[in-house]
Amino acid sequence: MWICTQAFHTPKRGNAESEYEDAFYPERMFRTDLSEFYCAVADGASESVYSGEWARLLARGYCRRGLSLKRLQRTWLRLVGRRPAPWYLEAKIRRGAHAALVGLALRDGEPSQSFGGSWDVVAVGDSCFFHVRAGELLTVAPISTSAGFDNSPHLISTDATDSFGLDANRVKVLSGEWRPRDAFYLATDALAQWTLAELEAGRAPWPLFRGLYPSTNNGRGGGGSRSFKEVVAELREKGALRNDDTTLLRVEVA
Amino acid sequence: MSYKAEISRDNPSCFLFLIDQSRSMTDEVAMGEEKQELAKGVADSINRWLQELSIKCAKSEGVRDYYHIGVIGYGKTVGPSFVGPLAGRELIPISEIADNPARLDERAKKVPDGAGGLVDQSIRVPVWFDPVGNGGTPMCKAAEEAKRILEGWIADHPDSFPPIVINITDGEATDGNPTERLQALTELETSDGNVMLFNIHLSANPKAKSMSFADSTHDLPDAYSEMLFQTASPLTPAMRGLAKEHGFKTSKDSRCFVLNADMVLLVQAIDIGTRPSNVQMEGQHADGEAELDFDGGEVTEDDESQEPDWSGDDENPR
Repeated sequence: MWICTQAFHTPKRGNAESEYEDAFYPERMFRTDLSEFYCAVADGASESVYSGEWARLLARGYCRRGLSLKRLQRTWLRLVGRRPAPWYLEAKIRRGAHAALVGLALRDGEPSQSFGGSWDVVAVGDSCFFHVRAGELLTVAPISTSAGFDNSPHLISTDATDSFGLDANRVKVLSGEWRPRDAFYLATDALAQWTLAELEAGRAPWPLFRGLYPSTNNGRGGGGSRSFKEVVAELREKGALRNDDTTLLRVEVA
Repeated sequence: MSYKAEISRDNPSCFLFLIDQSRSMTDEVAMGEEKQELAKGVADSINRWLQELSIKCAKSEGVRDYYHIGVIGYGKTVGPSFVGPLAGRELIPISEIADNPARLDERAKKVPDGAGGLVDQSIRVPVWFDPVGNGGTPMCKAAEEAKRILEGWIADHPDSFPPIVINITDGEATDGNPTERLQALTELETSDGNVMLFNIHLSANPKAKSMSFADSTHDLPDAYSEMLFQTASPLTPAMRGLAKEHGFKTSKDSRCFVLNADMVLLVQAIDIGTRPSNVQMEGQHADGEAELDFDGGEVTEDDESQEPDWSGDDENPR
């Protein structure tokens, strides 16, 4: 199968790039031929510390396979414990970091199948997955209405004794079939919520998403294409998009 | 719409504590099974509250100044009552508070050892206040001071989430009836709404029950308690929602009034961004635990070869 993927990201308005606490993997692939492909988006909770690092470990951990959650938790603890910390950071590290994760796996079909293949998704928390075919939404998970977002999603914790309360019904696992020219989008909560609200209002955001390009420079795009940061800034300005770290991963498969 | 302003480093909010430091605060009252000196209980509560707020605002690069905090004591004198490096200052950014406790006490804490047991770990606990109790209860003067301080702060932060005043007292003012002066505080406003007043009544009255966010004067033990209930602000709808999440019953008449109850819970009534539900659910782990494993395969304890690292990997910029 041929994969084209592009990640888009921007920090919460008022925050520096270095304060961005979402994560994604990979950043970009252009017409790459693969038999299987993994991608993920994660969202570190703003109230935890080193949660951007935790989100990166989770997104990458999902895509690299073979890494248990326990191992990622140990890695986080080792990394954050490297330097002496003031009392408040020490206390906050003891409380752990938290993040939402949505990961997508695409696989080539059996040789007997004429074209297409299978996908599966793992989601914890409020980052969402969208499967789109010919401009129609086929599947969205784990949240399916714009009213379904609140301020207290259940997240993956770095604290083994806490997150191991992650019971099976909090981990959403779905699978399905893809066909050539399908598109998949992984989005963190603010953009996922906006996307669902647009769909509820009878507007499809997919042409906008298809035309996005990553940065404001070098005049790429044209013909209706727009920079992600511009679009996000405009939606925030209108009050349509919550001010939060915002991430979109676009995957097109053929 | 009121109480919608986003609290950020560019647009911080403010907490101002008014603490009764009169002689009667050295009385011992029954708190559950044990007797405790009120002044000590208050100092402990504020130290814990500042500790929690500092931790809440802490990020890896330091403490973010989402709040400015002041503590005005009223007893023999009325004025700022931080001790140590912050002595004499009225409203202080939370980052400076976090970095300048009067001292750090070492305490042992039991923490999980990762193998199902508990192990003692030494943790550092900051202290900003010591208990004080002498003189009368000049609550009127304290309310006037608070008004002066907040007028100045609001002039500098006209669009902020409105300041929150937390008045902690055992009740009876000795310099007149403070009702009007306390009401005057809640008439101050930013473009986002009126100043909110929380009254926390620590009552030695044997009829006093423990209650949070009362919605009527019914069950209040005396006239002091009633005055503190009447002057307290109504809970905002958002605060009611959060109070409910924390297991408190409220009604549309509920006020920011607490009688003989734990004020540390108040810190949880103000929110910054996402609060993971796991944190609220501590100790309530669901049955049927399932470990999340990204391929179902075993990873052995001693295999460090696939361990990711944050640095030196240019294929993943985030």
